[in-house]
Amino acid sequence: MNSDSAPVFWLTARQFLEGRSIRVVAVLAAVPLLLGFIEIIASGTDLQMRGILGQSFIELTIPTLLPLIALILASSAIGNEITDRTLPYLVLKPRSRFRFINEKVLASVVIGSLISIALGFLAWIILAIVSGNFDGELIVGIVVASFLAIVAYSAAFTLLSLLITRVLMAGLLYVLIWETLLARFIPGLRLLSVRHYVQSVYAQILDDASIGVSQQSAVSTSLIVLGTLVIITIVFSWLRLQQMDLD
Amino acid sequence: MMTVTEPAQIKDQQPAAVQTPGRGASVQVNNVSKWFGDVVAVSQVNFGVGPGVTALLGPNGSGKTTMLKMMAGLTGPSTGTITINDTVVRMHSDIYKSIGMVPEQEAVYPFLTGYEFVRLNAVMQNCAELEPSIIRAIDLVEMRDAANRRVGEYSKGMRQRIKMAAALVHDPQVIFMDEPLSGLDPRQRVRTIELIRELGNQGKVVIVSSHLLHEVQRFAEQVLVIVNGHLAASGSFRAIREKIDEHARQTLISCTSPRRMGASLLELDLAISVRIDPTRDHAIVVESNDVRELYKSIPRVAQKLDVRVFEVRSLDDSLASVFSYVTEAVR
Repeated sequence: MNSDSAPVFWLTARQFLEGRSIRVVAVLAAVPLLLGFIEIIASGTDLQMRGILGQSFIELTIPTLLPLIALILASSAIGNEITDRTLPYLVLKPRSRFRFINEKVLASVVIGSLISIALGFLAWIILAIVSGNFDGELIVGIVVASFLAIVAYSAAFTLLSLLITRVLMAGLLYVLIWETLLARFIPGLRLLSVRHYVQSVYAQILDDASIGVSQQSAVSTSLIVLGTLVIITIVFSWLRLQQMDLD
Repeated sequence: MMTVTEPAQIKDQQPAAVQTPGRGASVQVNNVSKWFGDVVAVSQVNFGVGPGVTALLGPNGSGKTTMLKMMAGLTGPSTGTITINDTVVRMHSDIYKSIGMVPEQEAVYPFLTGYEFVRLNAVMQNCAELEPSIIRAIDLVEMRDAANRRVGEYSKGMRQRIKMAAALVHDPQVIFMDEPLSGLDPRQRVRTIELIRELGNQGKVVIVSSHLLHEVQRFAEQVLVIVNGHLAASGSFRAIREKIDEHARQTLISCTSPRRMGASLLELDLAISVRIDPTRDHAIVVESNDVRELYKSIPRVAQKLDVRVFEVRSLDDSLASVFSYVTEAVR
């Protein structure tokens, strides 16, 4: 895929890499690595891979860090262009706006996944070398869950950035209040959170009794729900972009 | 060559749709209104525009930018339809093959070079011959030397020019420009005005919004005057200018003997009223029906009276006051 076949994707990716938001994303994605170092300092070689990396991934990375990473990228992918009024350069073109939305979401997914997976892998490999435990299931779980979470949240936050102007604030409230608090502690709300389905897939890849998710959904159900969410939000984003007045 | 209404019409009621020629590209605005909440930005506007340069003229906040955005499909009309070459603009992305838009806002991706920005537009327009199209567009706005610098390092005028190159890279038939002379230095203004004229002469539909009357008369043969969201007048620039000149205008004359100067102008029927300007020493404000004749006569009168003239200045040549003349009928 070169810059001529997907110009919006490449432009957006470059926008990310040249902007400040990428540094915030890198800091968030580096949190598991930081926790790993703390664990190494505290436990030396006697550390538990699943205890530190596996548990922090399900408790912190999935419900908070990954949605924040997707929020920062997806909100700047379109939201910044609406704010600084550069969007007309891209939409007043003989190209489908559905394709435009897809390329925007893809840019958030590729950059967000690459950074979170790369730093997750780095944390895993360092801990694996120190502990001598190269836990294959753990890294597969981290890679798959990171990717699924970034895809689902990127699509959802892209739609949000087309609906409201203060997307970062609204997204932050959603992540911290809904995903991190309410959906975690109120049983019925779990089924209405992206976090629950990503955690379900992750827990089943690890297949570990110590890392469980209450009311765990089957992998197939989780993938269907997440896939449906992505399709619906992309379609609504496209419809919204068709209808909205641009400055 | 084209177009709007001929001769100029000062609208005394909601304007009727205007005929456009049968050949070439055309933009048709039919009964279009636009409101934002309780605010009516554009009200029941009808006009048609064919090939040539047409100015969309109006004071700030008159609704001309909203009108331009609706024509380009950025904003949908609340009622009515806008078509370009008989195709409704909104929802039909294919129409953008024949449209180029130079938006008013300065923002351009600061991390791209000028060349990359024009190239991006060329790629998205599916230009068949990419490189020749890019080079042609960059040369049109004389930006070849700066093309490899980042847009973030450009001056306001350079950004304006690279935006024009990006809008023209696919050689569109219909071109919308929102205040295109804004930020340009005098030399670039001259060059840009020449370019706008050239585009009109090539048979393209060029619609340029501006609030500067003296600039518009340098490139537009046809004018659409928008005031308070209404199409107040349309037609050839000359006809509208003549209509404007028929109205009494106020001129400030500062000289060594303002009272004698004022009395003499009244005696010669060059002024319908004269008053002392209380805000300045040695100055009078003269109201005249024939400003051209007044201006011609001032040196002669001054010489005859042996009066030294320091300043002669129109007090109401701003576009806002010019529009107030044009739209008296509407009010």
